[in-house]
Amino acid sequence: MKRIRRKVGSSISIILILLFHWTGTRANGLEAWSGDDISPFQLHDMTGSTIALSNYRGSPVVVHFFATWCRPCREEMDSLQRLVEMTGEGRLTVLAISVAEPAIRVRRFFDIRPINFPVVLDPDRAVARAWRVATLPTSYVLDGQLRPKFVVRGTLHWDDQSIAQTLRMIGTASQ
Amino acid sequence: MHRRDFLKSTVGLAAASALSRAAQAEEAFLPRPGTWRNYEIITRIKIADPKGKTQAWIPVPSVNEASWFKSESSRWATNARSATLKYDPKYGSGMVHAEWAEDEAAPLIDVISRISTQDRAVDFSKPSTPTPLSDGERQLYTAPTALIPTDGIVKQFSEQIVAGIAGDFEKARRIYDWVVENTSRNPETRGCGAGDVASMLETGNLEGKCADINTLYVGLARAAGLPTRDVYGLRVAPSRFGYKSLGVSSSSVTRAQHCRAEVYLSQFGWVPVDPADVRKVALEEPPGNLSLNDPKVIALRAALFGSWEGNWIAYNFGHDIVLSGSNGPALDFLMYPEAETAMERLDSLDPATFKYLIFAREVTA
Repeated sequence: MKRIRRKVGSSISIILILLFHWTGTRANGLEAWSGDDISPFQLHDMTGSTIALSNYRGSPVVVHFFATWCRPCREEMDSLQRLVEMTGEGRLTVLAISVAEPAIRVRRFFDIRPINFPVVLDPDRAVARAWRVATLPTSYVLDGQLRPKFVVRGTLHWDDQSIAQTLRMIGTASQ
Repeated sequence: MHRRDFLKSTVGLAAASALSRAAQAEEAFLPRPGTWRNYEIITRIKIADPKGKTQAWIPVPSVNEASWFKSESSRWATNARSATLKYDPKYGSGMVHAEWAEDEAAPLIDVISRISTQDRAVDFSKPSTPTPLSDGERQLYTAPTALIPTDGIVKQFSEQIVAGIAGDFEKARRIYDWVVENTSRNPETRGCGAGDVASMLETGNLEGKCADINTLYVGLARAAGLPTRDVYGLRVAPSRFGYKSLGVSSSSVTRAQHCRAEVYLSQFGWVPVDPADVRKVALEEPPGNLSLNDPKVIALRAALFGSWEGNWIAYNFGHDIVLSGSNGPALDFLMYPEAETAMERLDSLDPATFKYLIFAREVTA
């Protein structure tokens, strides 16, 4: 009887801890950034052109690390597209970074899921490592001076009104 | 995986030992060593759209384990300017590296490999004294890789899963049960999956295929201090136990890649484990979507901790493989043919446009 009680207790303990992990850190999604500044980067897009993060100074930037194999990433991509549409041109940039995938695979992925924000390639995870991205998806919200304000480890409904409002506030503060 | 499902399956863990007992009475899947089988594998590459300097790297079997696998020979026929057998220095993962002249309009190579293998089955009632791992091997197979961190969230989950459990056998089994109970096979996953263990745990999305599910096992076990390794390979024959989902139905095996795993236990040596195939059987065996309580799944679950069938060939144990002669990134693992032109690396998960074909047949020794 004691053994059964111990086993049940152990299972409940795992449930509570893991539920906390998979729900607790997602309660608000946007985690205030408390680390150092991040490294600037230049990466190639899917056509081979170079894109620098510094090109986007002046308005908030969502730097979104993803992979085409990652199902949560695919779902999140749609909400990022809606966020861009809601926000309007010039007021926010989403810069998606494909992590460790060949360009041809990423091109085909977006051929059937067109988006209207830039996608660049981090084939050897160099930028992902420099930005301490441990899991996919991970996103950083930068202000107009390209200083990190929030990090999102996991998925987020980017088109949620409260998120859009937060991003607008960052944009206003950046001006 | 949805959180509610996770909750449900975790509550079900208490029934795991009962399921194991049921499985012992149910076994229909009984791999037993004793009969060596010989296979020939032909990998045929025809680069569809060469541009400038074109190269390919074709995995060849490079596992040699006296009790279950012999990599015998690999030869090739090609119009490449050069083709050489190379091994990655860390894991000894073998590959044929072919380089074509820049003006070659139709780069071609056939790589033909022969191997011998047999079923494996560990008798857990008879502990033995296997060759102990060297310090180097122990270090290699408990170390993190690019996609298998052994700290952070992986360590956190691992510690919770084996909390209160003493003994390596019990820990290895407990992690196996946890992975079987909490993952699911997603038939839409490309190839065999990516095997990004930390992302799986961080997002709670524990679905995928063998490179996801079995690599999750490897990561959790390594984080618990157990030497564990992925074994990347290819299914080459039907299962003789009647499980359609655990074999191939023809000699064309282009998309039959499958990775298994092994955990080292001091009283039994390297022990075969394959939680991903438990989930594959649950999803795919007719009539489909079987529960973990289905007799077929119960039998498989019991068997695939400690045995596997020799209808599959092993390529290598490697991770973070640098391709000789390439300026591109290292591979997380080498299980598919790889190639690149002067423009870019090709998509190894898309054999139809790459292009490559793989055939396998059983041969006499």
